[in-house]
Amino acid sequence: MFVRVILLLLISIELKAQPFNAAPYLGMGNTGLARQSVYSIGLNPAGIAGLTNTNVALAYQQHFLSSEIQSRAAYLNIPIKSLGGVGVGVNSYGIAGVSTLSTVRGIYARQFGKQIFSAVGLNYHQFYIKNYGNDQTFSVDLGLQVNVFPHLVIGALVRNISSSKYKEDVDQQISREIGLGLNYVVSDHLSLASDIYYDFRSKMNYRGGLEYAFDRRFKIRGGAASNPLHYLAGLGLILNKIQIDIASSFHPKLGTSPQITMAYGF
Amino acid sequence: MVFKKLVYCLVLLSISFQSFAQQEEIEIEELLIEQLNEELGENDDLSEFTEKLAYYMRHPLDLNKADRADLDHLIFLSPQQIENLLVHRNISGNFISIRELQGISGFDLQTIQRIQPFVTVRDVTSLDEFSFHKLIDASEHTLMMRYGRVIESQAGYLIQDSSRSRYFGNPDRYAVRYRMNFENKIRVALNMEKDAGEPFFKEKQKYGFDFYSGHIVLNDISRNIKQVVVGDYGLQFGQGLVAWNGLSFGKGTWIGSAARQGVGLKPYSAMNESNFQRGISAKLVVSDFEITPFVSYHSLSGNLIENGADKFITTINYSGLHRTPTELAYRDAIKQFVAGMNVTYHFKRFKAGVTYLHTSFNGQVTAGNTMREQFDFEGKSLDQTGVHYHYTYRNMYMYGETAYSFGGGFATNNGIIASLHPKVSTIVNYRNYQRNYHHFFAQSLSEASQVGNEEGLYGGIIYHPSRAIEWVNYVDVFRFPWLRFRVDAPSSGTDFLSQVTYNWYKKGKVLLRYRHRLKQENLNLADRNESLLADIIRNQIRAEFQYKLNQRWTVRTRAEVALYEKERDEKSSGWIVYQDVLWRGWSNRLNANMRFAYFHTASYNSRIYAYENDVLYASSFPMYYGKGIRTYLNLRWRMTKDLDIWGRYALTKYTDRETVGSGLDLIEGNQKSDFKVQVRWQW
Repeated sequence: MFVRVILLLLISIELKAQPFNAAPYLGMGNTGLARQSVYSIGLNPAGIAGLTNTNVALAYQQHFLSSEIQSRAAYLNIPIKSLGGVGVGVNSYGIAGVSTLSTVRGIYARQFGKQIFSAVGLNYHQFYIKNYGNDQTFSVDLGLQVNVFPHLVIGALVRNISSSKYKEDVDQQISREIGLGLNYVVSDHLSLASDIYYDFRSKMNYRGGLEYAFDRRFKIRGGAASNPLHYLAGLGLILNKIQIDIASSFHPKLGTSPQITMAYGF
Repeated sequence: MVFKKLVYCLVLLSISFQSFAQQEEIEIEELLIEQLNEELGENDDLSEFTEKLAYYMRHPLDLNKADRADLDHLIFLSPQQIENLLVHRNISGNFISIRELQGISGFDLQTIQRIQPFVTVRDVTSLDEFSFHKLIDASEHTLMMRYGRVIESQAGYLIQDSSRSRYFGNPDRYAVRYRMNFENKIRVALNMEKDAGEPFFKEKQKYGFDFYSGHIVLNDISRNIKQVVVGDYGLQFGQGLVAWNGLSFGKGTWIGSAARQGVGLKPYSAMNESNFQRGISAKLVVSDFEITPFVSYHSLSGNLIENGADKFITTINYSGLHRTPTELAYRDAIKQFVAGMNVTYHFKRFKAGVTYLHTSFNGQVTAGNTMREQFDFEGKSLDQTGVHYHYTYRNMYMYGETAYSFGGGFATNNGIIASLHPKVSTIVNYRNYQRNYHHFFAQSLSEASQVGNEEGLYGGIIYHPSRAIEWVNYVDVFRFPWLRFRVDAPSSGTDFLSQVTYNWYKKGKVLLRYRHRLKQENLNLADRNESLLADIIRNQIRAEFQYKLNQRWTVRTRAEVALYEKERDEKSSGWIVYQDVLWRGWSNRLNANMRFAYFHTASYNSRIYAYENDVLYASSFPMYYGKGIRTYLNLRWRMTKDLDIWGRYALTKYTDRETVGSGLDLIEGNQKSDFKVQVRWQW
């Protein structure tokens, strides 16, 4: 199993470049550029500019149902009065005891009026392989969100605007892409989201999804994304200040990658 | 009641409906074609749908009387919409106006526009007594005759050498339809057809036409006997995993069509020469149960090999063509016996049924020896059973069917349609057809043409941001667990469609469609001994514009591009543009429409299909490939109220070849043309 997974990872180069996205966003077709919550720390940093309370969140994902490849993440955002907020995120991806890709991210987000949200994120990346050493570098992300209509938010993200890279002998890349997304709240029960990415190297990536709330506490999500075409789905449960979400992508060849997240709002 | 009137007034205020001019029958076909995803065979007869709809156009369905089976004929309605309509009628009482439909959840403007020509709201009247005299007076009759042929001579007709394969008949095509209807209580239908190349009053067709089909239907005989059909009929149960005779819609741009509505017994009146039953069947109603017993004995064409007392069936040919020595030898060689029963229980918003179907032959059906055919059916008889259901809960419609073929495997198909918002509907469907699931009549949501060896998850969403805009998306991810034709390993694929339509109310529309398909197929590399699987990607982009300039003129323009790419093999592209002009004049007594198309496709793989208008009930879906132009002209003249005459001339001229077609259909020269004449007399 282990060898098979490694082989599969090696042949699917695009997969390596897929950044981690938290369950509430993953389940909705891996979208989220235009959404606003603590989980935006891991995606579009501008998503925390409008938050009015402090949140902390944890995430854990098993990739391709193999316990060897895992992602872990922790997020924290603190609002600064009506100006915006700051956020910190930590994320690691890797095979336990073999190699790890870690990212530490700091965000400063600023709100302009009630409609425009912007943010800058500074990332510290570290790539570590046991017995081979490691490499580290910095990169910068820019995020923007515009609340065009009361129910429609458009989001834009430039990931790795600094074009940062690891050393030449490291076979890992810090993905460099621009994304444009929208989130439309159709009603209290239904939201639709769609994101498009362009990664400068290969091609476009399209994603779309929806979230349906049966009531205030229980949500169901579903979506699809391209390259290759696959489904994503998830569930959300809100219990007072705690929010628990599960989601998974269903890759046609590699299989299921379930994720669980938990957030607490102060 | 107060609420009801209020809704009625509000609706009246919000929209002033224009009076609905008589819609053309041709337009019904176009509506249907929108839904079909081009996998339909070139010669499939759509009339089983269009004829019923044409009937409702002349005799609109009364919304206060229509039952579920009647509403099922309005195939534009999703099962959920039908359910909501029936519930609305139960709760609020009879409809006062069609406009009330707008108050029913799930009915958007597009749907109401689509069904409006076919429905009405009438006051309740009592039925008159039946008498034989009345039967003669009140009966409606239709007789329709069609003649057509390809003008150029084709190779199959020129061969004189009796040792070679050739066409025994002439290139003329004849078709005759007769219909009698007595107040929808008694219906008689008769179809006769001779395809091009088939002998007429000669050879095996000594009684004239190659294909005769007909039925007598008696409706509402008593409280318990709803319908009896003697002759040709179709069976459509559940999701079609046990039996679905006739045409069916699958993945498409009407979200409801992925969820089938098995109507049970359906009199068969199309010209397709296979996939129907011949015998007797009835629809019986006992309290909440509907019982459909059926029995059929039918001749099929195919290869029956006799080895002493043993008989073996190696091929069954469903094409309906009997022109060459082989086809004539196969004609009616196989006898198929079918019997069984369906029992359906219906209570409020819940419906469930059980089907049992037995099929047997006059010989042993044998499967091929290749690896891919390893799980195919073998034997003299097959028994199948299936359980189907549907249930409506709040804004969700749940449906499905699970079937089992004795000595084989299972097949299951289940889904949910949910109206998440008045503007947003979604569907999710899961299907799993085992490779050893056997059947002869099944058709259901599938990527392959057969129900078997397939697993898939289909999801769709329809969004109406406004009254005029419709945005449809679907995704289908599927897997074939066993080998297939030209695929020597388990394989998988995806299908994605996104289509946006902007409608000008009663005026026109603009449509944009993108479809992306991925599948796998064998790749033969020179330095490899075995086949590898290669991905095949097909992209389709379509833009269409249709506009009614005034009462006389309508224009329609389409441009389409097809891109085909097979990994490490072929890459080709094709495109087509066409302009249609539709005209009606002389107070609508003369209609004409014509097309001028230019197409250029690099290979057969980048071929493009496009619907063509034709004489009534003859519309086709031909493929365009190669390089050249295609043009046609259709005319319809309403001579009198009872008499219509149609004519058609079509021509394809290629600029990249010296011959057209292949084999017995080969034409020397670079053009192919044909004409048709059709007369209909109604009295």
